[in-house]
Parts: sequence; structure tokens; C-alpha cells
Amino acid sequence: MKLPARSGDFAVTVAVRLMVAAFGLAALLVPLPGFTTPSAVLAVFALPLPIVVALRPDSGWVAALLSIAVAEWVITSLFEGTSPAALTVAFGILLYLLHASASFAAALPVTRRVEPGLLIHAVVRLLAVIAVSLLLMVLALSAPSRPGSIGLAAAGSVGAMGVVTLLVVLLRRRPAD
Amino acid sequence: MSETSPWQPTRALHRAVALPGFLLVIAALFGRPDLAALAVPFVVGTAVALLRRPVRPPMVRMTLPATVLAEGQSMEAAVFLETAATPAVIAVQIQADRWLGVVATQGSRATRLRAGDRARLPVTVTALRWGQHALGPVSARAAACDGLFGCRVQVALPQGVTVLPAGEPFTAVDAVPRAAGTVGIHRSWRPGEGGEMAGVRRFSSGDRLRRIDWRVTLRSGEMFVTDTRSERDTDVVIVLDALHEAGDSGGLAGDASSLDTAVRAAAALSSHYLAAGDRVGLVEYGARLRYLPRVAGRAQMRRALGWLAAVAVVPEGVDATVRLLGPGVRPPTALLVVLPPLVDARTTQILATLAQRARSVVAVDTLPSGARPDGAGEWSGLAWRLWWLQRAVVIDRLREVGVPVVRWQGTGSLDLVLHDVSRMATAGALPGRAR
Repeated sequence: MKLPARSGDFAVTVAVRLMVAAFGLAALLVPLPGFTTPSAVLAVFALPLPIVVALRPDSGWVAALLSIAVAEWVITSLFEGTSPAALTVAFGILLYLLHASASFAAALPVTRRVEPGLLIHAVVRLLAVIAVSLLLMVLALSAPSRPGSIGLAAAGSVGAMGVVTLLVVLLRRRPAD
Repeated sequence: MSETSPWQPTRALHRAVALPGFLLVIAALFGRPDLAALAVPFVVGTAVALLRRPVRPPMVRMTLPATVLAEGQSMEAAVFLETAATPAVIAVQIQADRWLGVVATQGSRATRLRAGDRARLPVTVTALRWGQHALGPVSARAAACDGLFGCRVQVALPQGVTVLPAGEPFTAVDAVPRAAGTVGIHRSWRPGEGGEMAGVRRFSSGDRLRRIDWRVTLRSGEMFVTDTRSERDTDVVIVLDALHEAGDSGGLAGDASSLDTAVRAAAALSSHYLAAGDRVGLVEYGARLRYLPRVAGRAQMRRALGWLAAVAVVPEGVDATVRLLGPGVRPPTALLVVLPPLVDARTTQILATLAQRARSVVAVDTLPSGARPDGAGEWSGLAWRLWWLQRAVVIDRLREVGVPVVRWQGTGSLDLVLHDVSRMATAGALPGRAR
């Protein structure tokens, strides 16, 4: 079927994919030292992967980009030390925005008009998740950072197990309808 | 999610579980609260999304107000979407035959349905060309739980839409070779009650007094009456050559292929002769043979249009011959209007054979003037011109054996040749002529 191509029909789906690319590029650049003045060469080298992710938001490239960004974050912290809390929170939200916008883009074929209600609902839900996450992230960052502490590792492991258990319970729960 | 559920986890769900799980383990093992903080939005977002998981896919169905359209006609179909207890993002796609113009005024959208919602998406379907076309299937792609689950619903199996050919306005002179019925509007060569004067003759018993020609009677001193020709109906058999389709079809608004011209001309001819009270039959010959028996009346027009919508060039099948055509082109007195593109020697042979059997045949050339063979080489232009010359020779030879060939030009296309065919039929009917 040839879809009607009216100007502005696909503006939303294209904008969502541009946002995916922008979040992806930012996720690659933010963990780097001196990211506030990134060199043009670096940006050019970093650009192809976010573009691929924007074009194929339903592919495994999203996970690859997230993994690379996290690896950058960990490696940088090994050399430069732990980043400020504000930057950590911003980076965490950036990663989630990349994940959520890619999920949203994957659900929308690019040749579809998007109803305003659908967009508003997605944005409101995203803001709610970010608001709750901000509070929990501040709590997590307030925990003492003591590498090698067996007690802290055990407590952290129990917490991680709890989170994984929560997700598994939610996945195995009887569905709504 | 059970294996039978149409909702399947997406890559987004995999990464939404794997990434925070990995971050939390590393954070716990190496005492890195910052990594735990990075995992928090993923955990919160996934937990919120999974609170309401779907089981049943959205219901999607399509309804058509009609399954028969005329060329150029439009109808408004509707696609209905319905969710169960879970909100879902749904993107609808409607597939359709090339010759059904589908404009989904709102159907090409992504929409969000709340739990239990129903949505009606109007879809305008325009018939661009005659034929039997398929509308559908309608497929819907749905996502739930913020894209963590997805399903593709394939619904509404293709529905058949028959598009009747649009007959051009057509009229022809009131000349048919052998008016043979009992009543009708065509003047026959047989004497009888009618409005067409044939001459005067001597009065004989049974003649009506009002037919006495008093002038001749007074002048000659004998009783003379005015003689008239009877008015009768006739049989018209329209033969469509479906051996080949020459030229590209652009639908009703575009260029016409040879088959387009043949089908639309057949519709126009049928309409004209059926309106005149004649019996009209149709024959399709190609790799398959189809007949529509000769019947008069308005119902036959509906049957003829439906029959014409099914005309198609079939790649392989029987070999068309006059012998196979036989049952369809009876009776021998019928006017045969053959609609060929004249690109196949078999058609030429059939036309010549029919003419040699003293049948009243008219050939209407349906080859589009702009038709060109596929592919082009250094000698294509020259070969094409030679082929046209050869074709012109074939047409001249057909005329020599008594098959008038005309191009289809709508109203009046057949006037000249119908006079010729009528004259030839009359000459053939004279005593002493071979039949």
C-alpha cells in the first residue's frame, strides 16, 4: 500500500529517531574525560553508531551502544576517579532516555502518523519514571563507597538479587487480561 | 510469557533486564554505588511497565460496504481495532492490490488504545482498474509495556473486490447483417410489419386495406400495396482476444493496454446491443476459453460486466482454435465482433477462417498506438517499423478475405464497417451464392 505522504505526517517518528541518535551520541561522549569540549574528530568517530541505532531501534545495536557507554564510564572512572554525583545522575538518566526512546521508536513504524495522545502519554510516563529514579539514585549514591569491603559487597549482592527477583516476579506474574 | 502467547519479549526487555542486572552485580562486587545508581532508572522503568502485561492481542477486523465497484468508483471501508484490558500502541498496515487505491485517512497512523477501547479507522478504497482484486490482509503491529512486549497481528484475510469495467458511451448505426429474431428494432431483409419501406407489390389475400397504395393503384388500374421490411432483433457475439496484453495499463485515468481497450469496448458494445433488445454473448479466448451464453435483457448486462471483470491473460492452457471457439460463436447468423490486438498469427487465422465460413465478422484493433516491445537495442527501431509494416499487410489481407478491421474510437467506431458487413451478408444471402 502506498501511504499518503503529506508534509508533517512523519515528523514525530523522525523526531523520535533524531532524539535516539542525539541521546546515543551524548551517551558515548559524556563518559569521556573533558566531554564538555569534545573534539570534532571524536564526534565524527562516535557518530556512526548512534545513527545506526536511530535507523534500527529494534536491533541489538541499542544494547551494544549502552554497553560501550557503560564500559567508557567504568574505564574513565578507573583513571580519573569517581565522577561527581550530579554527573552520575545525569548519565544514568541519559542511558535510560536512550533505552526508552529506542523502545518507543521501535514500536512506531517510521511511515506512521503519531497521535498526540500517544506522544503525551509516553512523555508523561517517562517523566514519572525519571522523577522516582532521581530520588532512588540520590539514595544509592549516598551509600559509602568502600571497595573490598565484604559486608558492603554482601549487602549489595543481596540488593541486586532482590531487584532481579522483583523483575522475575513481575515477568512471571499472571497477566492483566 | 507463555509460548503460545502472541506477545513476545522484545530486545528492549532483554536489555532492560540484562543491563541493570549486570550493573548491580558489578556495583555490589566492587563497591561502586555510582554503577548501582545507573541501574536505578532501568529497574524503575521496567517495574512500572511490567505492572500490566497483556495476553490477548488486539482485535483487528475490516468491513467493506460493497464487494463490487465500477471503475473509478470509491467506497469507504473501515478497520476496527479493539484492545482487551491492556493499553497498547498499534500501527495498522493495509495491503491491497495495485489497482485498488487505498487511502487510509486515519488508518496509517500509530494510535494508543486504552484498556477496552475500540477505534474505527476509515479507509477510502478507489477502484483504479477493472478486474478481480484483493483488499487486505490488514496487519497490525502492537507494542505494550513501553515497548517491552510486541506482537504482530495478521487479521482480516484478503477480501475480493470485483471492479466492473467502465463502458464508454457507444452508439452504432442500425445496421446488422442478419436480423434474425421475431421482434426487435433492426430492419431485416424479410418482408413484414415495420416502418422501413421495401417497395410496392400487387395486392394479395390477407393484405391489410390500409396498406393499399392508392396512387399506384389508380395509375395502373390494379390493386397495389406498400411493402415493408420486418423489424427484428439479432445475435451479437463479442469475442475478446486474451492471448496477449499489449501495452502498459495505467488504470482508468492512465494509458489503456490492449486488454483494457478490449474489455471496455466489450462493455460498451454489450450495453448498446442489449439496450436495443438484442441477444449478446461473450467469448474469451486465450490460454483458456470462457463463454457467456447469448441472452437478451437487463440482467444480461450485469452478468456481462461481472464476466468481463474476470477476463485475464492466462500464461498456459489450451491452444485457441476456431474449432474450440465453435460453441461460443453460434448461431451462424450472429454478428461477431472480435477485439484483438492483432499481434498473434493464431488470431489472424481464426478471423480469416470465420470469414471464409461466411460469418459476419468485424475486427476491432485494440493495440495501443504507443505500445512498444520490451527491451531496446541497436536495431529495435528498425525492427519495430518492419513489424508495423508487416502488421499492416496482415490487416490488408484480412480485409481482402472479408474481415473489416477498425480501431476502437468509441461512438461510431463500427458504423462504416457495419454497413459493409450488412451489404456482404445480403450479397451472400442472394440465391446462387455459396454459403
